[in-house]
Amino acid sequence: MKPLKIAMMSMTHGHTRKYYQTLKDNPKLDWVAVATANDEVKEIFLNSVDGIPCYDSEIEMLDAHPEIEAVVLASENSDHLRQMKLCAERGIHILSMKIPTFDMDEYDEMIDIVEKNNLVCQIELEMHYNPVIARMKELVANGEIGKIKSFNATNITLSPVWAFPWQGVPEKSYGKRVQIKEGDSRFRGGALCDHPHIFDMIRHITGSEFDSIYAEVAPNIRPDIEEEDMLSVIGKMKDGTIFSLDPSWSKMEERIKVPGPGWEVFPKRMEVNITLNGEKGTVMADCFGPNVYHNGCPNDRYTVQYTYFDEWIGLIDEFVDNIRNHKTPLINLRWHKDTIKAMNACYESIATGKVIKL
Amino acid sequence: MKVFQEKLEFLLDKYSVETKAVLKDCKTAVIEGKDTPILSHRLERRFIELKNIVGGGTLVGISVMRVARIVEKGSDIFAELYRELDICQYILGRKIVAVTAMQNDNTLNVIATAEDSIVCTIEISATLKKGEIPKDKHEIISQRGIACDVVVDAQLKQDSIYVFGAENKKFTDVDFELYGLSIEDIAVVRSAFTIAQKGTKDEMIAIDENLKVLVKKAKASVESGERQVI
Repeated sequence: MKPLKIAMMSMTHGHTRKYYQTLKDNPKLDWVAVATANDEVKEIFLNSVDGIPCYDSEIEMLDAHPEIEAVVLASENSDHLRQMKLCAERGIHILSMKIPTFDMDEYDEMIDIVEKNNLVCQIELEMHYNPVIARMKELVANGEIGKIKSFNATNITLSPVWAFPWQGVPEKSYGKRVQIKEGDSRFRGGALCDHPHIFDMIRHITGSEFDSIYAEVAPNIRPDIEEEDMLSVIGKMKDGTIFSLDPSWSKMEERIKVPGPGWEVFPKRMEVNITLNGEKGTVMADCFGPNVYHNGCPNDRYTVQYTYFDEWIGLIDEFVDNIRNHKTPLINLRWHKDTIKAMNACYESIATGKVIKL
Repeated sequence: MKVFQEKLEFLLDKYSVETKAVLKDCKTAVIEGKDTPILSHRLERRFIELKNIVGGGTLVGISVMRVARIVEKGSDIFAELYRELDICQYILGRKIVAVTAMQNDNTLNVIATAEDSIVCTIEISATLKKGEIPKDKHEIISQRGIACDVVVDAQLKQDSIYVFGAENKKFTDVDFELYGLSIEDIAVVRSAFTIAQKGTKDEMIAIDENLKVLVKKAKASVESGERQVI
């Protein structure tokens, strides 16, 4: 199979560096170029990767490399629609970050652009290429716990706003400035916008859709950021499964500009744990581990050192297969729309204090 | 109950407590002739220490308390909710002011708002096979630190001793005076003893009344699909 000629745009997203290894190593890819959004990310990129042409302008990059077939939009949420249009004009396939947009009119415009231009647009939800999730799906499919009655999950991390400042700006993260609720000084765009995975996974694992959602924000553990960092969500799926989801930034971090050793204040930087309670029993899963531990440099703090498995390998393999074999991505814009609607319902519930029916 | 009563009388005698206390079951003691809810979980050392951490200033700026509890099939999930609501109020030192609950048969998820806008999430299920010990976790998250009764990067609690022999065994012994009893059983005895020793019978009855209201509100939320303010 001819290697896919791929590029990256912006390089401002927290997942940018996750692509470096797989874009260099995967024989199905030919990494052609990157376009960086600003000097800061350009410097980080040039310090991390050798030999890939780096441009200051997306158009300059696309004009210089008409051979580009696909682009990873490693950008803030507010740039996605504009960049999708830019790609679509040139027939370039798209790998979008996990939140295409929260604006449903924009979302429909994205679907229209992609479908009219016959493009592959895959949404980056890497948990689907996680082996623990694969095992969990298998256990459920095999009837190990019978019909699922409740799905409880965490998707909790440290806050990325110091390393990736756009995530702390409501207009760039949520798309506009919306007060989180009356009498509250915070705005939409925080932890919820960073953590769609468990909202997506419950749909896949139960095979059902959201019926009702209730959410509350708690006092921020970072009082100086202007978005929510702690929230709790419960609700019900149409098949009766109840859920409890925690998409918070509940792990405290050092406020460093480039993620790396010493980022953690709390020993563990992130967690995705899922508990499925079924009619025949319970499955509890920690999606990342087993790990190793140290209390060495730079801060002498006890720290969980992840033994990451690279979910981006499977994600990119699927992306190439979708393009070369004209397949619809597992996580495509139409599928993902109901996940985003559910996340919007969380914000609506927080604002109104009501249970929201979907 | 006979062993528990013997242990209780041992403590009452040792510490010269003259108040009469008789354990009726694991939830109730007759103290000075009056049925008294003993809320034995309050005497589990982990909850005492978590309360100390929260109330003693180790954690600053409490935001959230997260609770998950899985028990054996056939258990009353609202009785478990009663227990966990009490643990939240006890550890946080704050009253719960609103509850929203979703139920699916023997599973129950609740968001409870405590004073100072602290949010408590409580996930309960009765899905374990008969005889399996409960799995639970209690975590308090604040601006300055997290406290939890499960070690970081683990899903379940550890035991003190593991024996890998002809038969695998494990032991967790936490009380020298009441050696031989389980953590939960120790809490039952200690709770009845403490109520008798400190004369907190009326306080326990009042707490029980409050918890019954909270559970009633949770049931109302399940029925109505709406948040219930206390």
